Amino acid sequence: MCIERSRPQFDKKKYIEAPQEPDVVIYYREIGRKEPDIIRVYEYEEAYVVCPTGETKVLAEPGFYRIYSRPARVTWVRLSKLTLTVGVPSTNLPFRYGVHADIVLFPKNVQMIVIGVAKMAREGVITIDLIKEELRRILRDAVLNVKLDPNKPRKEIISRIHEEINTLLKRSWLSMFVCDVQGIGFSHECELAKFLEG
Amino acid sequence: MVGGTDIKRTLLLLHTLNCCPFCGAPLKIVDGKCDACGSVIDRNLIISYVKAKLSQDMYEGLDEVRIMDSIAEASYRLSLASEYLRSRIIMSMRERIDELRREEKEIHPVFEEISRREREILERLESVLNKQQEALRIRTVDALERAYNELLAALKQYGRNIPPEVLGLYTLPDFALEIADKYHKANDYNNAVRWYGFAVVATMYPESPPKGLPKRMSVVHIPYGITHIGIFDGDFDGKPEVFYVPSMGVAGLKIPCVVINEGGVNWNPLNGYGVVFPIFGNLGKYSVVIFAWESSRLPDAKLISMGKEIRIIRDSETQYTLPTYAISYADIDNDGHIELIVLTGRGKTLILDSKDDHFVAKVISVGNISSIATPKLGDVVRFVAMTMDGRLLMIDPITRDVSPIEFGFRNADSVIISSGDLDKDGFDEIYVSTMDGGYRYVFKNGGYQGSKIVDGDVLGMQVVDINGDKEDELIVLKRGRGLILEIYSLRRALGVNVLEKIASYQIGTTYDVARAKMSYEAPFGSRPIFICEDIDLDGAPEILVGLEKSFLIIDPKYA
Repeated sequence: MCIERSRPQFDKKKYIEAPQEPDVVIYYREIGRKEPDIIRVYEYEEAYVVCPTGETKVLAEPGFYRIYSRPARVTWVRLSKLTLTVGVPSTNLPFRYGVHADIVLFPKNVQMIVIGVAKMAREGVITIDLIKEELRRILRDAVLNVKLDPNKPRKEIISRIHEEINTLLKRSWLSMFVCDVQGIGFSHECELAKFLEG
Repeated sequence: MVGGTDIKRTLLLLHTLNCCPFCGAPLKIVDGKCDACGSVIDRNLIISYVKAKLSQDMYEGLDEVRIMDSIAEASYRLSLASEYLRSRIIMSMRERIDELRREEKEIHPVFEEISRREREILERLESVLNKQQEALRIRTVDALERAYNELLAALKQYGRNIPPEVLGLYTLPDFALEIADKYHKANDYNNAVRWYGFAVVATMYPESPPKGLPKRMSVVHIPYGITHIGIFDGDFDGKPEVFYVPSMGVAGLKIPCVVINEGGVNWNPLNGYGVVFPIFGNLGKYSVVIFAWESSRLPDAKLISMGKEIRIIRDSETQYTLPTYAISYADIDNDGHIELIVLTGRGKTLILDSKDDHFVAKVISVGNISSIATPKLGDVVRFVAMTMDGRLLMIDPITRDVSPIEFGFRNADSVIISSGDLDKDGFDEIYVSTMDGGYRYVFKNGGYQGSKIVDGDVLGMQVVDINGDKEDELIVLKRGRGLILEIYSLRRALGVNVLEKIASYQIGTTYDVARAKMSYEAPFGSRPIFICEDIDLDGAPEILVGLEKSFLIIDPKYA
C-alpha cells in the first residue's frame, strides 16, 4: 500500500484536492514525484488511489492522506452529485408526453472506475453535463424499449425502467456505476404543460 | 443574478410552477433551458403563468426580466440547497451505504430514504420561510413568535443536516435581526448573539460572486465589540469559521467564544474557562492552540492543546500563563510553521515559536503596542507595530532590531495598521488608519516612505480584490455622515502610481458607532479591528469591523 493518513494541513499549496467547481463529479489525476504528496478527501467524496504497484485503495473516510510512493493515480468521485433528474422531452419521443426520472448513480466497481476513468489521461474531469447527456440518451432508449404505458401502476413502470436502464448502463461508459431509479414522472402531469396547451 | 431577498421570495413561488412542461421534471432553468431534459423554456410562458396564477403582491416590484432572473436563480439555489442537504444526509448514513455496498445489496431503500428526508427538510424550511415573511408583514409579536418557534423546531429536528448555506437561504436577515434585537433589549445576550449569528448567515447566503464592482453592501450590526476574532477552517469542512470573542463591555455579557458565521453557536471545548480563543494552523507539533482565560477579569491566559497546558520557556524560565491582550500570528521566520504574536502589556510583546512540545518566547520591548502587521518584503517577513504613544516601528523579528518609520500619531490607541502589495512590486506597503486620515507607506530604497492618501476619520484600510478582476483594490472604511466604504484602485498616471477612487457606498448601521480603542486596562474591551476576507467562499471578501461596543459584518452584493 502506498498511502497513509496524514495530519490536517492548513496550507492549500501543500495538498491536492479535487476542484471545487459545482459541475465536477469525477476528477482524476496522476500525482508525480515533484507534486505535493498529500491529498484531501472531503466528506461528500470518495477517492480511489492506484499505487505504483497497481494496488487500489478506496478512501471513503474524509481527511488528509499522504502518498508515500509515487507516481500514483487518484480519482475523486462526488457522491452527492450522483442523484440526478434527467428528462426526455415530448418532442423526442413518439408519444404525446415527455418523461423524467430521478436516478441515483452509485460507484460500484472500483476497478472499472480506475480502468475507465483514471487511465484515460494524466489529469481530467467528468462534469455533470456529460453524465446527464449520456443518461438522457439511456433514458430515452429505455422508455422506447419497455414500450412505456403511463396508465400502468407507477411501481411497475419504475421497476421496468430501472431494469432497462441498468442493462443499458452496463453497455455505456458509465458502466462503473450501478443505477437506482427512484421515481418516474410524465409531462402531462405538470400544470404548466396544461397551461401551454391552453 | 438577483439579490438575496428576491431569491428567498421567489423560492416560495416556485412550488406553483414546479415542473417543466416538456418532461415534467422539477423546474430548474439553466441558461434558459430545463436542466433535466434540455428543452428551451419560453420566458413568455413562465411570465404569463406567474401572472395568471399568483396574486400581484407576490411578484410586486419584479419586472418581467427580474421574474425570469429570480426564478432561474432561485431554482438554481434550490438545487444547490438540495445537494448540500443530500451531502449531509449521505454522510449521516455513510456506514449503512458502505455496508450495503460491501454486501452487494439493493441500494434502493437507502436512497429512497435519503430523498424522502431531503424533501421533508425542504418542505419544512419552505414553511419556515413563509412564516418569517408573514411575521415581517404583520409585525406583531405573536407572528414573530410563531415564525421563531417554527424555525427553532425545524433546527431542533433537522439542525445537524442543515448546513449554513441552506439555513441562510431560508432565513430572512430582517427577521433574524428583529429577534436578536428583542433578545438584546431583554438582556438575554446568549440568545441575542445566536440570532445575530443567524442574521449573519442569512445575509451571507445566498453567496454573491463578484461581477465587477459591488452594487450594494449588506450589513449586520451586532451591538457587542470584538476582543478577539479569527478566521480558520477549524472543522476541515473546506469553509472557514469566524471565531469571535465578544467584548465584555456590556454588563452581564459572558460568552466564551462563538462561531458567528455558523448560526452564532457557542464554542468552548474546555471546561472551567470563561473565555477561549483558538489559533488553528501548522504550529509545529500542534495544529491548534487554544488561549484560555479562567476569568474575564484577568488577562492571564493558558495555552492549551490536545487537552494539555503548554509550557512557555521565556528567558530559561518556565511559564504556564501569559497576560494576553491581543493575539496575532504569522510565519515570521519562514520555517513553514506559524509563530504566535502576543501583546502582553508592560511594554512587552512575545513571539512564541513552537519547539517540540513547548513554546519558546522571544521578547520584543518597544512599549505597549496598539496594532501590528506582518508585511512581506520579498522573501522575508517583518513585524510593523504602532505603539500606544504613536510611534510606527519596523522590527526584525529574528534580530529584534527596531527601525522607526514615523512618530507622532495622535490617538494611537485606536489606530489600525495593515499590509498588502497593491503595486505588485513584491514588497508589501503599510496602511495606517487613524482619526486624522489614512496613510500609505511604500517600501523604497531599503526603507518605508509614506504620505496621507485619504482624509477624514478612517476606521480601516485593506488591500483585497473586491471586483473579481484578479487585481487588488484598496478598501477604506471612513466615518463621516454615517459610515462610508470607499474603493480605490492604483493606476499609472503622470509617470507615477496614483490612487483613484472608483466607488463609494453608504453603510447603514442600527446603532451609533465610535472608534474602539486598544486598552491594557480592559483585557476584554472592544478592540479596533478591520479584516477583509472571503468567508462564504463566493470569491468576494466580507468585511469585519470591530468598533466600540459594535461589530459590523459587511457583505458586498453584486446584483
